[in-house]
Amino acid sequence: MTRKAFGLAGIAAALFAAPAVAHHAFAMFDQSKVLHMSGTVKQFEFVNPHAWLHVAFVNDKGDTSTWSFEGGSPSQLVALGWAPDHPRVGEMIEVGFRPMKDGSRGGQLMSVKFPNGQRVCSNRGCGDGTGDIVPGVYRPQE
Amino acid sequence: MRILAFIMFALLLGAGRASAWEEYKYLDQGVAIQFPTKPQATKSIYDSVYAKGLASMVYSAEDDHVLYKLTVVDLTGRPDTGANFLNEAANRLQREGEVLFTDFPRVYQDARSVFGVSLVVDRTDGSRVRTSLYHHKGRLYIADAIVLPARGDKDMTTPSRYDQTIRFPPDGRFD
Repeated sequence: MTRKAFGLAGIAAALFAAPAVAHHAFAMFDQSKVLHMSGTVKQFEFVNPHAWLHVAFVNDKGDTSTWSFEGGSPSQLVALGWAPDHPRVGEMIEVGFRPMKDGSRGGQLMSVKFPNGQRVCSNRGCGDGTGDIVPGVYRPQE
Repeated sequence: MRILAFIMFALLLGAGRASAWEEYKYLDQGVAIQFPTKPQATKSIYDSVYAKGLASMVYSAEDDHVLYKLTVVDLTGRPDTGANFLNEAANRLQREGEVLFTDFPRVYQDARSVFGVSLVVDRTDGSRVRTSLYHHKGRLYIADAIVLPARGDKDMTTPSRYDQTIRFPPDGRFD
């Protein structure tokens, strides 16, 4: 039964992962730095091929702006402790990210730190030399 | 029963998340790309200094005052001039305003890599365009995300999201 369960779970995982190929370069992000900002989760799109986290930040003047961060695929992120509702909308978090080179408001999602101190990191590590590298799924026919 | 529930959960997790962005596959054009809303397809022509009236297809959608547009130009029979068509398009774009950013993106990895060029330009009409250009298998692909003046906020990230979703099927099929 256990073996059967693992087999079926494996099939499900493969189906889940099938469209999850990280297919483009990350050269648009400044790989030389990781910035950290605290804000409120506006939306978390747990979608293929890349998850997107949208966070509302308030600056020193009290102005609010939305920043968007591109993460790995859901199949990569679940292995690292992320979930469709983790982070959840309305939650205060600290985002670690590599900023966009073109100056737009966003970047490569590297980590999220929650109020309770828990931190989840990207499939490319946390950006500070820690964390795990979780490779994407390669599909030769694609 | 619990196993079945787990499989259903996994399938839903992978396929069903509510996002406006969806991938549209154009097998006859050798490309797939995501749009935030359903795009319109229009036949068009493309003029170059090398040739006038080239057959092209334009797929476009507007969302929140951002126009997303993919133009596919048929360069059949011109195998040696692809780089010139691509660079001509980039040259035209840089003349439309102030170039804020240039990058050389890559789709896929290793021997499957398809390299292109991206530019972000503040146009004189008040719009900001982020364009990625690729030449692949006899076609020129022009992916534009144009932040219209009515949008106001030009520093949004979604234009870069658009061109990052483009992919090409090396063997002529996607799945």
